Amino acid sequence: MIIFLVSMLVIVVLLLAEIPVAFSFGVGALLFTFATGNNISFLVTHGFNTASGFALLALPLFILGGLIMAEGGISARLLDFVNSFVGRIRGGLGAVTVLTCALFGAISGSSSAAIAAIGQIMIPRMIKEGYPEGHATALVACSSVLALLIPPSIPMIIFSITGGLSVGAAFLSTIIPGILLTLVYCALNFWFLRKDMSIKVEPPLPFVDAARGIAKAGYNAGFALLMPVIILGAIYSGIATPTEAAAIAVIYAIPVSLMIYKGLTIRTLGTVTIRAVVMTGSIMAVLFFLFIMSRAMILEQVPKQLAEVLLGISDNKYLILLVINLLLLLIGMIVDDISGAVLAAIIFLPIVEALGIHPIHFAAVVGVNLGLGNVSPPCAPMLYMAGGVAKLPLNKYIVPTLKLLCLGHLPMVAIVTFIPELSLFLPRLLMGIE
Amino acid sequence: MKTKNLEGASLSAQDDLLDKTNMSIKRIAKIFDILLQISMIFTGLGLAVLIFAQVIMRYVLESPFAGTEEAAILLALWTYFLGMGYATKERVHIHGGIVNLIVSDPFKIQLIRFVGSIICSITACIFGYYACKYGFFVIEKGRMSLYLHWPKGLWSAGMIFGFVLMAGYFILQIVTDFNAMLDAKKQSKLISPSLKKDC
Amino acid sequence: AGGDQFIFSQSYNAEHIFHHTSQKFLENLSAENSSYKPDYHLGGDLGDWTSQFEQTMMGVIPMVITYGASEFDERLDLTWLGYVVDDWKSARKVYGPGGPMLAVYNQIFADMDLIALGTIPTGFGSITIRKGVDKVPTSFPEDAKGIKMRVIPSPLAIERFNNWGFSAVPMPYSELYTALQLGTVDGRGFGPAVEIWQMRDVLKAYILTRDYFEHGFWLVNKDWWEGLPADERQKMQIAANETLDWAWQEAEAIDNGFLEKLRDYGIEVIELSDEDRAKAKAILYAKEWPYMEKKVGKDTMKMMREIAGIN
Ligand code: NA
Ligand code: NA
Repeated sequence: MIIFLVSMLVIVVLLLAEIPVAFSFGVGALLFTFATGNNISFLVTHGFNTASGFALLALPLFILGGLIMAEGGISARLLDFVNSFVGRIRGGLGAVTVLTCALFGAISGSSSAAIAAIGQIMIPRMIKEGYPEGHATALVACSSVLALLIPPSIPMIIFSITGGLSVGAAFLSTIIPGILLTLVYCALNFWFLRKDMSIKVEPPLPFVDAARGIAKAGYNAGFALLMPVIILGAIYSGIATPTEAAAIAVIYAIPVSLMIYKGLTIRTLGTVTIRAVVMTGSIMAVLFFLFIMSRAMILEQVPKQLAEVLLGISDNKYLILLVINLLLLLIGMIVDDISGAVLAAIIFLPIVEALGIHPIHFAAVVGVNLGLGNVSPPCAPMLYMAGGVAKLPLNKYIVPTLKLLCLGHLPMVAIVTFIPELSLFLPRLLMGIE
Repeated sequence: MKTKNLEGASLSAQDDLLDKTNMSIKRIAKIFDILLQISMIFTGLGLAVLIFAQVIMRYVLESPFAGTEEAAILLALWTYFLGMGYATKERVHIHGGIVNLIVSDPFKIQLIRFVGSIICSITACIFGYYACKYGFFVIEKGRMSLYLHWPKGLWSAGMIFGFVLMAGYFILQIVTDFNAMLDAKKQSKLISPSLKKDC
Repeated sequence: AGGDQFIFSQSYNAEHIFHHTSQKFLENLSAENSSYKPDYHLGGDLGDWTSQFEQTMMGVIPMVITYGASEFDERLDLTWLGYVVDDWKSARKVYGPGGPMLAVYNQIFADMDLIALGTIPTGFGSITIRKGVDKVPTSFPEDAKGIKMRVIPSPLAIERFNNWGFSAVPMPYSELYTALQLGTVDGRGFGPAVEIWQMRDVLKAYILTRDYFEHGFWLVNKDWWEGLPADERQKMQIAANETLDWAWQEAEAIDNGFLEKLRDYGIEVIELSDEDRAKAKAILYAKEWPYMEKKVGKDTMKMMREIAGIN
């Protein structure tokens, strides 16, 4: 346990000293593995095996698709169209960002893909419209977690299968918390920006002119608007998996950008691809070393030991729930969300079931906590990823992030934990679970 | 292309040594860089094309060719690791940090960066060593992929190459950061000699 | 990892026979007064079954219960070979303790620095169709045309479902649930009852083709095993043998339990008619078996034919 704490401290110090996140995790994993006397050679094998997984393929494709859309002029037209609705509202574009993350969550099960696909489109646009850059980045980072709450969600599938629960019921359990969190983030966005005069807000227009503006933007965005239709359509008609839909999006975006909107040339397509590959690389580096660190910790049963220490404190049901929340948050900090889901299912699920807590309710608790772990510093891969996409240093977006987390996500964790009806309502209604 | 930083830095360090060998080293570096860029374009776009083709094949050909999955992972791995290597070259690895908030002396900032580069180099070398070890284990066992019957070494070679790139660029970065640190020291001496005591 | 602790792992959850078997082994080993304490990992926290297989080859995990990963040696596709046995009794005789297959497998494992202490039965694997698909294929190849079936990532699996007339779609497990829910695939093959139960809410029918007998391996890393003190190794062997006997006794009841749960849940469980079953078998014997022969050689397949009672 001391070795664990020292390793965590080293990681935090390295992170603060601006060592790349990936290598901070790498040093921590090396130190921990070496000090616990384990064989270091398996770490790389594990990282490689996980990186070879199919689930990650969506990441490079969504990044490439997002960048081509951004450079090729598709995103701009799409956002012009959106702005023709919300451009007259202060903070409107921020709310759209949150809603887009939620919508994207409905097609993808991973937060990193959400940041890749949406962050690089929305963050520059918000900054262009005068949003504080820190706020724009924090909003994307925090909302990316919605991909885990709104089904499908890979960590939720893993949690349910490992815990022997119905995947469908677990999916349903996080929908209401997910929608609530979406609304809370929208509201917080409006509230934070209510007095921000640097944001461009167009003057109100009579209805007819506004409608004309919308129609014009819609006409201009014709091919761009087909893009989400194609992606969502391909997935929900069962033609393609989300990963495949991302590839379809790339293949659609290339000719539209080259020939119709002419935002790209063959030469700049190459440059954009290189940028996408480099961005993929920088994100994968974080994930690669996070997988490695996560494995080193699990091999030494660190999460289990943490649980044993903290759960010994009391036998009050609510206190234990509170402690489990804290533990899930801690685990979310040190392992990736897939491993976190497995650990929650094998360590905590038996405990909470013995306490008489409904397993599907617990699924929702796990969902909101793992999401929070992904964006709560110090080990916050999704947060740094958003910063990487926005090309901002941490000090520029840490305060807005903490504000969003403390006023949005953290209360949601408490609400989900202590109001079981919130997560059980839909599974009961639609699946008839007890 | 955003390769100017590093080239600029190495230029200033070497501009008095413009002899023939240096020119050819530069030319080789340039060619290497172009090759890297072409590879990244190939793997990145190739991945999208391949997965797209898979969807088409599933509907047109009735019985799809299973090898596409393997090839997709192969391209993806090379994409990831080429990207990691190049991200090192361009210094765009994702990082947190508050150095700029608490330290204002440019020399100290450069010192921290210099130490950081050393730490990263060592880490990349250690993991690179184990990546090679694993890669050669796979190659030695003569493993073949299931569907394409290509040597599995092709897959792990992506990781080896990526770590070699990362380690190499981090080591170059040590040199750059060391020079930058010396420059910063000269400058802070010029501005206020009293700062010298702090170091 | 201090003293005489060693990692013992399996990647399935607490409902799975692999877990029950592991628990039994922990009991039996401590009853033998072994000084070795297994540090037991379940649920895939050390990676999926393929990854755990590889980690055992490399010695990171000294002892594991997992399936034979044909990506490391395609001869391991032998475990998935179709219609070798028809019922639990003959399955035990062929694959179980004292049966002929363990030696065949150990020959393959010898090249991978692995030793199989035994096999753990999961049960017969069959096909399933998702909700929202009208067709319930029972007669191959007529009923199979145009049905997209997810198969495990193995050439033999693709071979089988294409031979039966399906459109075989190899797909990673992580995408399977969503694919079944949204209809990217119409069903899946290679499903023992326990895995059908895991994805019950998107499935409609479970068609008992019983095309193969699913069994995992109890593997140890060769160097680790041979490096154990002789008396400790013997204690482990005894505990393992007792556990294997137990597993082969309990497995059928556990498997049937899941089948019962599926029926209660409302999934149609359909038996093949004798005629359809004979047709399904004939196709595999005519196409899949010669295909397998190319990988494992004539001798092994001759033995398999004798076991299956075909010429
Ligand atoms: Na989602
Ligand atoms: Na965190």
